[in-house]
Amino acid sequence: MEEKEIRIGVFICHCGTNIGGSVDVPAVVEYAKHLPNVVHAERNLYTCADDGLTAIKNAIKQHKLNRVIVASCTPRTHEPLFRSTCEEAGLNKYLFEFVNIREHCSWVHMKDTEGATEKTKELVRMGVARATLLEPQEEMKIDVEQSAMVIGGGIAGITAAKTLANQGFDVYLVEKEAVLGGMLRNLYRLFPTGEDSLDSLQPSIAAVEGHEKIKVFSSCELKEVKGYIGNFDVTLLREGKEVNFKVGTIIVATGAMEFEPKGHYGYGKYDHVITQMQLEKLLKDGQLKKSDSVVMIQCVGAKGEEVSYCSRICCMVAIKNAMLIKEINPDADIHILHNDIQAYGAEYEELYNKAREMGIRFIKYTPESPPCVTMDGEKLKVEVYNELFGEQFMLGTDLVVLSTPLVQHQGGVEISKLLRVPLGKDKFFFEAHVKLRPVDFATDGIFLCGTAHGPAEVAESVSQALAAASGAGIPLSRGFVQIEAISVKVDLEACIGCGFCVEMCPYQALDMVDGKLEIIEALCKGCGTCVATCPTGALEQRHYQNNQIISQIKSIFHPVIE
Amino acid sequence: MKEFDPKIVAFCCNWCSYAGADLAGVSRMQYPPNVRIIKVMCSGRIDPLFVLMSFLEGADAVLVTGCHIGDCHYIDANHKTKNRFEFLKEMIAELGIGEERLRLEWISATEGEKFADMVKETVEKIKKMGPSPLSPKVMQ
Amino acid sequence: MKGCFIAWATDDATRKRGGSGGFVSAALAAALDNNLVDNVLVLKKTSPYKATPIVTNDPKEVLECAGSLHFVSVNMAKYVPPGRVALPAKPCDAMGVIERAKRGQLDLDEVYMLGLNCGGSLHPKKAKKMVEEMYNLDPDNVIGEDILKGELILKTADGEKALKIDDLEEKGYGRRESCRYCETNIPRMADLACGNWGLPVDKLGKTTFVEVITNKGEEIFKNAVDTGYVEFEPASDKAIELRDKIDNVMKGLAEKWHKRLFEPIEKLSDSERLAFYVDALNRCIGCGACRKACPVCTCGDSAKCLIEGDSNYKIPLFLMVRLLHLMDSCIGCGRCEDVCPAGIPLTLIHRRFAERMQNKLGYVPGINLDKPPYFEGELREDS
Ligand SMILES: Cc1cc2nc3c(=O)[nH]c(=O)nc-3n(C[C@H](O)[C@H](O)[C@H](O)COP(=O)(O)OP(=O)(O)OC[C@H]3O[C@@H](n4cnc5c(N)ncnc54)[C@H](O)[C@@H]3O)c2cc1C
Ligand SMILES: Cc1cc2nc3c(=O)[nH]c(=O)nc-3n(C[C@H](O)[C@H](O)[C@H](O)COP(=O)(O)OP(=O)(O)OC[C@H]3O[C@@H](n4cnc5c(N)ncnc54)[C@H](O)[C@@H]3O)c2cc1C
Ligand code: SF4
Ligand code: SF4
Ligand code: SF4
Ligand code: SF4
Ligand code: SF4
Ligand code: SF4
Ligand code: FES
Repeated sequence: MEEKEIRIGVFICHCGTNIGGSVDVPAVVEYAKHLPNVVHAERNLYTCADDGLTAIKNAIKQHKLNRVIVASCTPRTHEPLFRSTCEEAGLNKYLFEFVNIREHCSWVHMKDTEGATEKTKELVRMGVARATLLEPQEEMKIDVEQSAMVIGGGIAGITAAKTLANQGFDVYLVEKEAVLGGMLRNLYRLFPTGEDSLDSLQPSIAAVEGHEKIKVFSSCELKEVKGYIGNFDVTLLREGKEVNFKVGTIIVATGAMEFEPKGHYGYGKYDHVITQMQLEKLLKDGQLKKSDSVVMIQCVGAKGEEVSYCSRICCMVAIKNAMLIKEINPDADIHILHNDIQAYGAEYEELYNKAREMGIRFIKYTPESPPCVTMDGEKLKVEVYNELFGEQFMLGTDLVVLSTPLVQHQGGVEISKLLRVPLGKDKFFFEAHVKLRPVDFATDGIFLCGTAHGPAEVAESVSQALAAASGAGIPLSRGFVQIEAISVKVDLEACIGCGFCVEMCPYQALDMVDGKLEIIEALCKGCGTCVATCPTGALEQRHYQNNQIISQIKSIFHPVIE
Repeated sequence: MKEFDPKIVAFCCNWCSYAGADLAGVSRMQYPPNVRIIKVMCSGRIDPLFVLMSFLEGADAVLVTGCHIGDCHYIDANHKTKNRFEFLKEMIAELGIGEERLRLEWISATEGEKFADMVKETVEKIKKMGPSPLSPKVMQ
Repeated sequence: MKGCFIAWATDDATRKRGGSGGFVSAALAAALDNNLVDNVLVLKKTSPYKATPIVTNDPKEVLECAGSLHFVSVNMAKYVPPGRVALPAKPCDAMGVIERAKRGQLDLDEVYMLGLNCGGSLHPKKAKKMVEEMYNLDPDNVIGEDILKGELILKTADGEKALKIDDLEEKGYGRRESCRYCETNIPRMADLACGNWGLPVDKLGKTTFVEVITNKGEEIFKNAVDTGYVEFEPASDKAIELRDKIDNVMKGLAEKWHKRLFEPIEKLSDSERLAFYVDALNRCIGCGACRKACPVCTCGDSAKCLIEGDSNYKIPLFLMVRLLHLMDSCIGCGRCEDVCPAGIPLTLIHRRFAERMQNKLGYVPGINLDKPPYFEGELREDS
């Protein structure tokens, strides 16, 4: 950078009352105005709204700003927006600095306006210190391999594969089982429509298997995925042999499995205690023995110790199957013991009411006194405390069906490790942002859909699949991606050729050639590990330079830095 | 005299611990305003020099945070963090400023609560310990 | 040909000039003569208190440099030129060479280290003072020195004068502090280990006890014999035993010194220890001499330890970074303390930090050939 005067503009966001409610924003603006190199400071109700962005652009022009700081929410969601705003006003986007005063301040110090305000001032001060030393950067463009891999051949994976292929991209669909279809293969009829599961599945499978753009790898195991968006190198194992191909984007659709309720309500001990999935199979194969009385127990293992969440679909599954049993045997006596019924949406409400009309009885139990299943001679006996009536009920029954939650399976856990994408608290795959990026991973170029993400019914799995396919299609159709300019550079004058950095790099982006360090920039992901290691300081990371980080540290302890 | 208000520097990686701190905010978990976060892309970028400098500048505690082992966005870069941390730990112990002032925590993007708890615990502990004797502000 | 020998220079002048039997100088000259190496690094004496490391390819010059300098404490490692080279190396010189090789500064396959046993050296300035105060001699009149049987013998034109090293050290003179607790006396990390320990009385001062350790050592030794520079006979079992015995005695003494010097720090409470460090390290005037003298540090004018801190720091950032970077790699050579104009007990402090880490890691720099653990990427079992 030439010795040009540094002119910083600071924009502090109220975010409605999200920030303004616990931070004295006007005081922070006043403070910011007196920080070194700051030539303009203002506050906005919502900096990310149109008028906020316009204010930034105008100020860049009017005040000849060559650094912009926005103090608002988190860079993890809003940095791209503000960066492109700067670019529109002709400012290199690496001269933009984000200060997080909402997630890291106003929201976590809601009852401490004084503390939050003081902290905000310091955070802005740190931002100014860093911004002063920022340098403009050029981004590298990388070509994108115009193909995608979909992992998991359930309805979600099938849908995603089909959608991408129809857009003209080559798709590799990887399924660990011998056949496609996933959970739906074992289901009988589907709520809310009542159509046969296979009837709705088969055409999709046929479409995928016959598609010229789709290669199906069934009975295959994913062995390794290397690389990055646009250039993932995939290695599969098929019959013990390696298959290699390259893809630009990846969709994870590895589904889920039914929780096995071992030790619950006599499951595994009594023959006639089964799960909904086992019931579906019996119904489908026409093997269900005539049952005069059936008891279904909801939330087995869910909302409790083993699984803390509500699996959302099991109530509808139970109602659906209860009705199907009624269809076969209208005289059957059916009880559904539940702990609040989840029947969201009009269609489901309707099903629920219909079930009641058909004479299916719903009994609410409390988690504190759950039902108890025992054997009474040849028959099963279910005792339950009916909360509504405040009395103990005794139900003799031929069959007990347990509704258990969908849970993550080993296959998913392995994929998480392989792709280095996270699992959440509930062990399902964890998206980049619940609201703003629900089908993306934080890692560029990898997407997710279906029950791999959490319990969902078919319609939800399918719409997520469509969303993921459209996300994964964007870089493919564009043909290139720009990579963030956070890679490293070396000052060969300072480098002593010790080579320690070479072994630090997880991506083999560094190499010693005849005692001279070479950097393969396209391989560098900008973790900065080599930079932290280098004893001489010959290595520097773009946008995370030593002096930038050091200035941040110093600014914490120096009220005003020169 | 004003009550001792510890200054704590936390180094967070972009993908996990910084996101964990974000989630603590989104979940409105309340913790005291003593921590200053410096974001790096990966905990592997945290040069021990930064930690030493923070202490010399006057930090009462330093938190080195990143993704759990196995979850690092850059394969195994956080193994190096862990390795370098062992050096820092011994160094702080030898200096005699109180080993509890330096902490390594792996915090995933879903562990907002863990982040908040870490800050709360550290602030409490440091308040009991008093200012860092290495701080330029503290007379010896 | 590996094993222990008693050897000497065939050339009488060299044999006489040599610290023991002139073997080292003769073998170095032979290596040059027969083109085994391109260069030799030796010390050129200007006075008993001063010598300059020189790189030469002249066998004659090498022979002229024969003799042990006990009042010179330079570390040779920093002066090793690139390419095929041979040098005499005390244990700390050899360790320095190995650490520099790990840092890409030289190729160990090309470096021949003729190790010198070492019981310690003296700091030149302190040696001069000692000559005046304890020997009542004019330092400039001293023409040579020798260490034999625990005594330091000074030679002048008028004859010799000997004093017990133990007594000298009790009075604050004698060997450098780092040498007193240095436990490596026989440089088995070098290619050869040469000394006078173990020699029968009648051969003292006339021959060199040589242990051939590596293939390269064998090459050097054979070359010296084949070219006629050196003659030898096998060392007797008695001689070998005697050498080991003295080595063990010296190790025991080093342990005692270690205890004596480190225990006072060990006993300090956390806050007292911090005060000790702050008081000592804050005296630093930032001249950078310690870094330049340190054989392990290979950075040039650009180095992380040179990143500027603030003047109000209780300990200079420079020294904090050095302590950190040397925790796994400090070989205890004592050079930093030798050169510090502020008189900071730098080596003692470096060793406190380093021993902590090195003991924990089970890593001995300069001997263990693994790369420095600080630059290790793998997770250790115990962590
Ligand atoms: C008992 C029960 C009844 C249900 N009834 C209904 C209903 O009536 N109506 C409704 O809308 N929904 C119903 N559902 C939900 C419905 O089954 C799911 O929404 C749907 O099947 C999810 O599809 P998916 O593709 O996400 O997952 P899945 O069907 O689980 O497909 C995932 C696929 O990925 C494969 N896979 C996993 N790991 C790997 C790996 N490592 N490598 C390669 N491949 C891998 C699996 O083998 C599987 O083929 C029911 C669910 C259950 C359990
Ligand atoms: C400081 C010191 C302490 C020693 N202590 C012992 C001991 O306790 N027990 C023991 O058995 N042997 C000891 N030795 C080794 C011994 O004195 C002889 O050096 C050795 O026996 C080899 O003798 P030589 O005649 O073959 O070597 P020489 O032919 O005399 O060659 C010696 C070579 O060493 C170089 N040299 C001289 N002084 C130094 C120095 N300070 N640092 C590095 N290189 C130097 C010379 O330049 C020369 O090239 C010590 C040597 C030194 C330098
Ligand atoms: S920043 Fe990370 S990815 Fe880039 S070269 Fe350094 S270690 Fe490798
Ligand atoms: S670590 Fe630094 S000095 Fe060593 S080779 Fe790499 S860039 Fe050069
Ligand atoms: S540190 Fe050890 S090897 Fe080096 S001169 Fe002293 S005693 Fe000899
Ligand atoms: S720190 Fe001092 S004692 Fe340690 S290797 Fe360097 S110069 Fe020698
Ligand atoms: S202390 Fe570290 S940075 Fe300084 S010269 Fe030595 S290795 Fe380089
Ligand atoms: S030699 Fe002494 S005064 Fe000079 S920089 Fe080193 S510690 Fe400081
Ligand atoms: S990305 Fe979080 S520790 Fe590496």
